[in-house]
Amino acid sequence: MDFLEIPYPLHICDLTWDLIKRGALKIDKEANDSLLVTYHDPCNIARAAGYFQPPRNIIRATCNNFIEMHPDTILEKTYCCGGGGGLLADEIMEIRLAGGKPRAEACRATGANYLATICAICKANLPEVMKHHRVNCEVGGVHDLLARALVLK
Amino acid sequence: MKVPVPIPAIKIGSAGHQVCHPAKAKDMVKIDLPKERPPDWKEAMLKKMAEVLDKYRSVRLFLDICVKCGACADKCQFFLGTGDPKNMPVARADLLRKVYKRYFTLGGKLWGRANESAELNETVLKDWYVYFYQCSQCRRCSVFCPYGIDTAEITMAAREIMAAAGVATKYVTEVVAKVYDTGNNLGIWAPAWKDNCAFLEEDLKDTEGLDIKFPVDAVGAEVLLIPPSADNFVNTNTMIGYAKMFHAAGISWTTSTYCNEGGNFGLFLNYANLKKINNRIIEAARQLQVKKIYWGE
Repeated sequence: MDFLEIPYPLHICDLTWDLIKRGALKIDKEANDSLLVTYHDPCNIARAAGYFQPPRNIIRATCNNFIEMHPDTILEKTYCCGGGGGLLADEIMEIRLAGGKPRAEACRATGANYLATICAICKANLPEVMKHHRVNCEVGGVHDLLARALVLK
Repeated sequence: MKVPVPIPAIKIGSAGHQVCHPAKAKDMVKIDLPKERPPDWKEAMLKKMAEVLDKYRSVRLFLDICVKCGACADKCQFFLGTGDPKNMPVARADLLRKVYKRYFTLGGKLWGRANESAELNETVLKDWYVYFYQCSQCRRCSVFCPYGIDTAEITMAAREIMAAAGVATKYVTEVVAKVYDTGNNLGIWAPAWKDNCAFLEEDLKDTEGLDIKFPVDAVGAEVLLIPPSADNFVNTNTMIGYAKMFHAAGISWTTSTYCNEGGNFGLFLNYANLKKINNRIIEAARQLQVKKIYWGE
């Protein structure tokens, strides 16, 4: 294999959204009816890479209840979860919780019970943040929602 | 602009006690950094700083053009959360800017403190270590800066300069070192990775009666999936989501035990490690002769 033949990496949400658009996946949106879902843009995927819509499209295609947070806290104005940039260390937990506060409050205002995001660091830090600021909201991935709604039999 | 939390009152030094543990010598050696701060640390840092300023012209530009308008001040979640003025992006960048002025500009060399410059000394280094490791490089401030100054790049530059003098945090260096050992940030060795995949297969069979594979190191698969390692270990529902999707679409896929980490902590430390870790993806794709590479969540 030549250096130039190495395939350019794409995001898994591109593939999933493409499959959904082409009707290749059978989806039962009602499987997610117990959830009110909101979406948290991770800094590096959203702001640095300009990757905003595919995850939202997947959520809309797999859930009936989707709500956006305040427009000043999403897309390129998204807040950090508080643990990015190598701050996910336990000794600076106070900083992580303080930094996650704006995100927690924006989430509380929507009343959502599931906060979807596509960054492993956000998924590690936000549950701590939600617990600390007493926001009753589960944190999970976008493909978790697909896993629940995908009809395989 | 409406913010979800009120702008806090200024509390000078309120976040100063939140300091990361320093790096361990064995990790530093593994990732090609000095194992401890050498006696000539100041020279080492200034040498690296000259290199950084030369290589990244954006950094020099950002240091030169700030007019201290304050548009960024209330945009950082770490300032909103702590009220520590040094967590305002402008003040954070100033930690580096002052040293830059002292050693790399005429005004700073001639007039010193009158030109808002500062000697590089123990106190300044301590501030760098505390506050550049309280920035998550999220770039939110840069969205609001009328000049487009990107504090994330300033933080990256400062961390790179500190790393050259053996100053880094335990967490970041540990994670980077783990990648060279195991291929991922969590330090999951290949047998454990395979075990976890087998466990997920069994789990899906038992709970949902589905026969879905989680292939590992399958040569010739169509897709190489580079998930964050946490998907295999913690956020397993996400991993199950990928597997179900590939299964439903009939696409052959695999993960690699050489490179099973989408996150690159080199970005939070220095350029050399960033590049080295990224190259592992190309190497894994070569080894497994895949047609496409997909990034996990």
